[in-house]
Amino acid sequence: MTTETVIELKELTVRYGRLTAVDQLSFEVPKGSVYALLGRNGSGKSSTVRCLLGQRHATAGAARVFGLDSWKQRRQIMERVGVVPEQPDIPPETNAEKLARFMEQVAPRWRKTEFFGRLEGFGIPRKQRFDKLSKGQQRQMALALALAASPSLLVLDDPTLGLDAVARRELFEELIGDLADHGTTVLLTTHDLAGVEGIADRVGILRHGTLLVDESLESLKARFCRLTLAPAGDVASDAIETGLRHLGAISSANVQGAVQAVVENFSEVGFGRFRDEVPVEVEQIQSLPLEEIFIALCGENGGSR
Amino acid sequence: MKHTMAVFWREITARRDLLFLAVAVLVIVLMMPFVPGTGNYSPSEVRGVVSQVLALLLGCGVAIGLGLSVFGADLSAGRLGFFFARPISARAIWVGRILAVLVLALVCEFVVLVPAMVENIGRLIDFSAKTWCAFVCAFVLLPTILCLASHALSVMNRARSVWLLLDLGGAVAIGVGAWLVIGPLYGLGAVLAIFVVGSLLAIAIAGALGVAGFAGLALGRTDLRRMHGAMSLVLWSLSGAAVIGLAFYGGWLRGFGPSEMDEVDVFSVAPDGEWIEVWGTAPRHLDVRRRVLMSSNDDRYLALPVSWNESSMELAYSADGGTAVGFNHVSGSGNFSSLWWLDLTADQPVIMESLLVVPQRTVPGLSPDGSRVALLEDGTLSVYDLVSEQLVAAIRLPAPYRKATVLFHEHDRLRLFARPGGDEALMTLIAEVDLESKKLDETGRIEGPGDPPWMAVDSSATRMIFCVWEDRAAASRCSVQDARDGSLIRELDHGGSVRFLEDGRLVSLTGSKTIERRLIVESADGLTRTEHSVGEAEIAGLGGEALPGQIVVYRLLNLEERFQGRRYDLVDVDSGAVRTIAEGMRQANSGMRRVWGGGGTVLWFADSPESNWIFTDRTGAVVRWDPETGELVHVVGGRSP
Repeated sequence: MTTETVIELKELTVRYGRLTAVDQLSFEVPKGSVYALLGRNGSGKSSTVRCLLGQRHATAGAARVFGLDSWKQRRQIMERVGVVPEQPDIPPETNAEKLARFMEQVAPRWRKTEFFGRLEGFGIPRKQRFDKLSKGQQRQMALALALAASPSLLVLDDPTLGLDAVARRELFEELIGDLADHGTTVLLTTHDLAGVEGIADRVGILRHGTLLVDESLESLKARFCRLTLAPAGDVASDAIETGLRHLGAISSANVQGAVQAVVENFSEVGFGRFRDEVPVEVEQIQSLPLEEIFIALCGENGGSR
Repeated sequence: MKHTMAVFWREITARRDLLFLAVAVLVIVLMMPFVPGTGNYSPSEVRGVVSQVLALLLGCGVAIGLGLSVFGADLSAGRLGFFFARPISARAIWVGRILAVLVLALVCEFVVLVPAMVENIGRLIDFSAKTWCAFVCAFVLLPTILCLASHALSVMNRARSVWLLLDLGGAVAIGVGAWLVIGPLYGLGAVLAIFVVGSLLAIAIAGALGVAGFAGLALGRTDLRRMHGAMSLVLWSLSGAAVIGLAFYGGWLRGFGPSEMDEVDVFSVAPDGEWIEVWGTAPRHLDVRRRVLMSSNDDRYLALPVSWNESSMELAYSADGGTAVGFNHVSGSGNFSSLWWLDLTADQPVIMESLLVVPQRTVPGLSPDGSRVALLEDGTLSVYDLVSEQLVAAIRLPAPYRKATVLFHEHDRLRLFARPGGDEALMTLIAEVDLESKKLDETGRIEGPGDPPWMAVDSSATRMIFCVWEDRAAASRCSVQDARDGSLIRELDHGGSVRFLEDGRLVSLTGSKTIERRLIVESADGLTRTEHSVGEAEIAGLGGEALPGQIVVYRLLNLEERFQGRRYDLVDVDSGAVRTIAEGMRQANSGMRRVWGGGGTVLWFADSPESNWIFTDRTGAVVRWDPETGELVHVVGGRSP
């Protein structure tokens, strides 16, 4: 691990009885980057995050943050980490003022004025009990709490879950604003792929606890494209599909007489060879949004590798 | 520490509404004297009692409620991550939160307890250490254990993992272990030892619960199953270690020998005077009293089984002193005991358990050579061979003899003394039982008296002293009767303390308070009679025949010194010479074997002189009189002055 690496997972495995939730997961998150860990429900994202935060003991493998063992040195790690959990876990009877008093005593880098400033921005009253706030406000308070601790690493575990579109946008805008200000490293798990697309530097996609993808968002998007082909003459659709498989298609479908395929590692040379063998007319070659790449990899028909 | 206090105050602030509940209960306490039906007691008494009861109930209730929810609620709602996502150690989280809920429970308790403390403010200063301990156990230790145990139960219930099997096994093992530690002390009736060991066990379990809860939190964090596993492993390991440690301590408390005893009571002395049955305590062993049979000549001893509801049951000896029998309560059998016996002629006697089970309070009678035991149970006289446990005879007794007193005076013959009820109530019946023919022959009857007589049989079982109280205000009237058929041999012109000498003569002590006591010695036929003065006494009596022709006379010169012990003299029945044995002592053996039964008390003068040489002194020591030097030789016990 280099000194610039904030998070390092090495063959991390988490089992719940006989069920393997995370299977030998390895990836690194460099300092200052925004890493989006994506996956369907039950793919192992939250288990990974809990191990990373030292809240759950890994069955095997290692999780290190800032070069420290996340299980054994949790307390030291948490001095520099802000967490927004999947479900807000702030004690329900508390309010912002009590929370600030508590945090002053336990968090060495706590900035009270920043916390209250953010709450004011969100329009959250200081003396309102946490359980009396709306879901959106609860998440906003959790985010304000995490950011006011001046974290070097911000861990967001599905922070937009249950939020409406406006609240989601506010959350990401707040996050992006803060990142711009501080250059904080962010690990993000979410189902809001559109939101991630604007802020993530790097993406990891989990499927059944196994990492399918771990690369920069740009490179990922460049690797995938959608081909829309129309058969020329009496060429059989079977022959088109076989040819597409050789070309690297990970999914294909017939749409109104045309064949649509998502191709991984598309190359002009390979495509020219395909066209020599299979007589087709090219209707369209498109780049894909992250959401479609994710569906292609993790959907019912995707993720064949 | 700073983080612990932060967590502590956060928890106190979050749950401070409980104090309003305590104040509400306090108002109830203050209002109690105005409730109808409490008028028979003073308002302060009512407030004092109600405040203590409600304080304990509230303290325990709050402790249980908070114990169940302090981590359980967060675990259920998935909120425990809030603390673990901060730079706070697991120790600070555990100590801060648990301490906070315990303080809240105790503060609630003490708010309600204020009236009782105000009412008893003067008495608080006079509380003994034991009372303070009991107070702390009830009002501090109990809520603490309940709180920690509730937390443990809440984790077990929420996790419901396979570790529950360990919990179940651990709870059973600790319960059984605790009973194995406490049970023997309960059997000894050692209340202080039970309290101390029980308190230590409670403290140890509270400690184990505390450490286990911390271990569960530190090693499980937000993983409930892992938390359960860590907690269970630590809890049952520590509790098991504590129980094992206390088992050793309990064993040590019970395990002292006679040489360590300080205050010793002699319960019985074998007829040959060698073996004595003592109960004694030892320094640092709390109030544990151990029952041992020990040699008065050397350091051999044998621990005897004890069941505190049988503590008054002495050993029964054979006339030759070679055998003794006792009983051991059969647990779970209700009121039944199993019989065991000892061969006192062995170099090191050991308890020989038998399969004979009889109702408690059955008095065994041993044949003179100790080979047979007679048991009168529910109207049936059963005689067994002690070694083989073979039934020698079982005889259903006629109704008047159902509650007879049994005198096993020959190897194959027994004598029964009975006072039947009904029309024959004012009569003492005598019967011989022949074990060969298994027949009962009524050999005699003595008319009257109204009250049960006092009977004492000589060593050959041919004559007996028969004393009756004709008028409760007057002295007893005694006669010498034939012990076989009850026929009158002669009336005695004096009552009081009377006994046979081994050579057949009769001695008695006459006189009453503050007048000169005289020892009357009569020949067996009553034709010759001599008298000797033994001095004045408020209370006086005859002991045993400590040397042939020399009898022990005890006197108490001043009634106010009755707890200081008596003066013992040895009086030569021929010359009247008096030799002081000891002062301020008690003779361990009255010199007579007692035979008890429903037919009244019968004394049998079948003891050797040596059995009359054992005394206990004021320091609780057992001493043995040496007839040659006249000195008292220390045998066992004796507390420092």
